[in-house]
Amino acid sequence: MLIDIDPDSESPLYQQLHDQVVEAIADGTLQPGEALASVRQLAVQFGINSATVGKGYELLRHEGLVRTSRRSGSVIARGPADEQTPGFEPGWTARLRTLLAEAVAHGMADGAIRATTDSLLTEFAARRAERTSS
Amino acid sequence: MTPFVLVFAPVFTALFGLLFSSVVALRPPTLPLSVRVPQSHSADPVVLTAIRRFRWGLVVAWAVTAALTAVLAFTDVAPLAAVVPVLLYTALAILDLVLSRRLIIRAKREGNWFEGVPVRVSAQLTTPAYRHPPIIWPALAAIVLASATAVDVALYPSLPDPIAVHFDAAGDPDRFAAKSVWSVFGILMIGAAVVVLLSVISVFAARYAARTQSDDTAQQASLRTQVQRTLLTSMLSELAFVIALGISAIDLAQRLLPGARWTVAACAIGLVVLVMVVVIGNVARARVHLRPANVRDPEHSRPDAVDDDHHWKGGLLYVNRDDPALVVPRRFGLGWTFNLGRPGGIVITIALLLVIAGLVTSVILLAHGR
Repeated sequence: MLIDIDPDSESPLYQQLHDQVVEAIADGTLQPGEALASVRQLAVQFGINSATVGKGYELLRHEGLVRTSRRSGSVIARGPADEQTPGFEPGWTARLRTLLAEAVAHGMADGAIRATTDSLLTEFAARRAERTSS
Repeated sequence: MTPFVLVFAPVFTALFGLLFSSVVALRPPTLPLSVRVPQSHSADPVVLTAIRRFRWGLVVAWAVTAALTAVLAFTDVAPLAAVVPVLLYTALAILDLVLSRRLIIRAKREGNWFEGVPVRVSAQLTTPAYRHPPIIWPALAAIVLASATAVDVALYPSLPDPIAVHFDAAGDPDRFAAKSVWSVFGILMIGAAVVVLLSVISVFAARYAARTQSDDTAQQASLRTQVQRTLLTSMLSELAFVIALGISAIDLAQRLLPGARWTVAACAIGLVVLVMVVVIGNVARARVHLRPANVRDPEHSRPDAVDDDHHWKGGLLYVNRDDPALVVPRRFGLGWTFNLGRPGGIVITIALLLVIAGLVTSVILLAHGR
């Protein structure tokens, strides 16, 4: 799987790495147990500082999406089919609240917000189904 | 003047030029002559003209060096005719590359090719599995060298003392050394060292971490990594075998046919030609396998890579202080190059240059009887 980092983006590089891994887990591109390149390998491939990549991995580990062991390196720790991560919802709801408020503040209609949310969720599910069938 | 001297440089430079010209097609279409261009300009008329000019430049350089060979061969410094033209050709080929790629660089700058083009830095999060290099060629190399050693051991008591260790351009022995383990088995030891060195490098080549081209799709990026790994590992291990074969042949020619004049030179030319055949054969195979990776599908558009030309001096040397990588894939040609923006890269490059200079000096000193 490819990670594309936009060097000119306002979003920090480690955040872009984190976000793409999360999306790939949601749409089934990355499966539980799948091995990831090491921090060093990825930094050398990108040609960016190891600390930046390390920060992205650390964030994913902290969220329980990636686990690292000395023997097998970093692997994807869970997938959409696994039981919901305990204690995950409050923090996520707070962030979602800000995102929704942003849409409302910019004049987006409630219906349009719901439609966008639905279409994104449908897209993730469709990609997952595509993976399992092929 | 000898046929060996007359033939060596033109044949070697022709094969070298063929190789230099064919590696152009090994690189992605967005890296013509080691210049980064966006996908929208990979078939720009300027790019096509520059590549054509580069190829014609190689032909002209060959003609110049062939003429020089012919001139040198008739002077009293005939042995130089085998070496000087090869060095001159290498220098001319690099100059040709630098001058030809300038055309593209200028057009890119003047036309603002990268303006408004979305660029990304990409990497493979899940890398293709590591595969061991083939064991068959180093094993065959060991068998060949062991057989030559066995023949030498059997012949050792009957070998003359002192023994001829160097031959002039006419094929006559011009230097002798006291019969010893070194003077008899030295050449096979060098062969064994080269085989070991190439096999070790091929193990590293199998772990080759490619830089991902942002304009490659995920499948194309994996294919590129695989083909480059296979190209390097199979080429290095086949070279180990060919070199073992050539060195054993040179050794046996000296031992079994001491009177024959051309055997050693013929084996040496054969070895050089075989080395080039292995290299060109592997490159040709890689070109075929890489073809799907160099096709751009407008339906699945990918972002372009960041314009990093300023880190590539002359398109050949890599200098980037902010890059943690010590070794990066070459942008033109095969294998890797060291990052000269890092202290480690500079130290290793200087050490390598010293080793090469030391080897060349010792070979010259040996050839002239110290």
